[in-house]
Amino acid sequence: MESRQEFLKIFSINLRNILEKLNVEYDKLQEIRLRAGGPLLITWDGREYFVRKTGEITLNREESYLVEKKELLETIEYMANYSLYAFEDEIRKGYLTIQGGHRIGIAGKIITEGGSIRCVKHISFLNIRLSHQIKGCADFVLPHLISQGEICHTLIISPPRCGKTTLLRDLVRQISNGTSYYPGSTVGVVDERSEIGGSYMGIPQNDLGIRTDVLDCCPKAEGMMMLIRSMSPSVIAVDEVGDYRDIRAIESVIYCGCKLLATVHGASIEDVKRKPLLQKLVLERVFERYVVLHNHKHVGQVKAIFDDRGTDILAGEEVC
Amino acid sequence: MLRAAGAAAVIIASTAIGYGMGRELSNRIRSLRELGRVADILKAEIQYAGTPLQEIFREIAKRTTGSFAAMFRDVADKMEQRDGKTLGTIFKECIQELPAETGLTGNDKMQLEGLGTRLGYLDSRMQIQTIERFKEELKREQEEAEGDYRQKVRVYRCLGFLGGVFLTLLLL
Repeated sequence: MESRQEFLKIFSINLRNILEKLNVEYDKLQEIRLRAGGPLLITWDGREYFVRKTGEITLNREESYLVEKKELLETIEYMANYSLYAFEDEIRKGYLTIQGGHRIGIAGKIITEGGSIRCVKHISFLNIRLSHQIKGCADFVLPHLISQGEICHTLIISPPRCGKTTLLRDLVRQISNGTSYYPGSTVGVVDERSEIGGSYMGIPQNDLGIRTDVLDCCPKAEGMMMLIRSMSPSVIAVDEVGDYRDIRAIESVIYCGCKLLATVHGASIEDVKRKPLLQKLVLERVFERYVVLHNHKHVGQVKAIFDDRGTDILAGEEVC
Repeated sequence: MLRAAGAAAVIIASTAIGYGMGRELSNRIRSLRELGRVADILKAEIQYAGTPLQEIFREIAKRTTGSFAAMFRDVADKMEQRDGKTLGTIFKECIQELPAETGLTGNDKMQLEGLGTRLGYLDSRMQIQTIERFKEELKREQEEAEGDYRQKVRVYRCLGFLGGVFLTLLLL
């Protein structure tokens, strides 16, 4: 409840009053969308709803509360803690991550300079994606990622909003703390967007375990190398790998004796193979496990776990 | 005997008033210098660390003393409340609570309020420009205050003393 109250403080007073009355299970709230002059929308338990002024949810657009531009501006002030400039690098990429690891997508008028984006002015659209810490969500997956007492190089493949960061966070926590079948080991997290740890002033607000070191807001490629040099982790965890620098750093990590946990957008191994940079790693069998997620029944549902040869190691097993 | 004691008391009191007025001028200079340090901290934290304002104000509160420490702590606390006020409004409220002993004039306070209304928006380049402008303005005010001090402090002290003597002569 306290985290809900804390989270709601990012909204303008009026929106805060409406969202406080929202009669839905907070843990299943995935997104809140604000558009200047547009309806107040939420995604709850995988479905989209309009929100009335009274805080009740509805499927009828006409009954929805309409968000005013000034409310949006007030919300932006609070989100950025009156310091929009402190997020300018993130804003240039189209989002900012706030305390608690919640990611806020932004859109508006783009100001360019020399062909590249300098800043976003007149922000008129916000998409607040809530980060939830679900302890135990990796209980089913973790035993399949351990081979001969060691963590396997693992790639979590998932479309957006299917819980890959939540799964990664719990994997980090369990590997770090240890379980009944795995002794804890040192984990280094490169948290480029502050989504895994939700750090505030360098301290993770989410539980990442007792043997975890976090490089907050650090570019992944540089961060992975920094961790290897300075913190001697057994496992390195990164979210959303993609560009060529990340791939190069991954190659360094796996040949340094560290194990790697990474996530990527996609719906299958085939999707990953279609990404030219990642294709090489798949073909070279760098990853020993692929965890594929979807959200058919619920967010974070495991569709399949494959080994390095692409064999489904869950075949015949009931997935959760 | 009583007359002499009374005369001495009047002269001492008026001299003290003269010195007091002089001290107000020197307090203004000290306050403007302190604000210059505040601007330096702001600039460095924004330029090199991209630190959010609330954290910077808490840092300033630790690194300054007296009235400004209290003022910036107050600004940071009010920012945390997020109760519908803009940063400009918060700044204005906290500046109004600054005690007279800072010696700041209405114009000095207006400059500080202006800084509050312009901070927080857009990119750090614009923030740095805003702070630079504020520093330039401070420098001008400081030169004016130092000129004022040189010109007026002796006059205030002499007037204080001589005023006391004049009053004593009138009363005797």
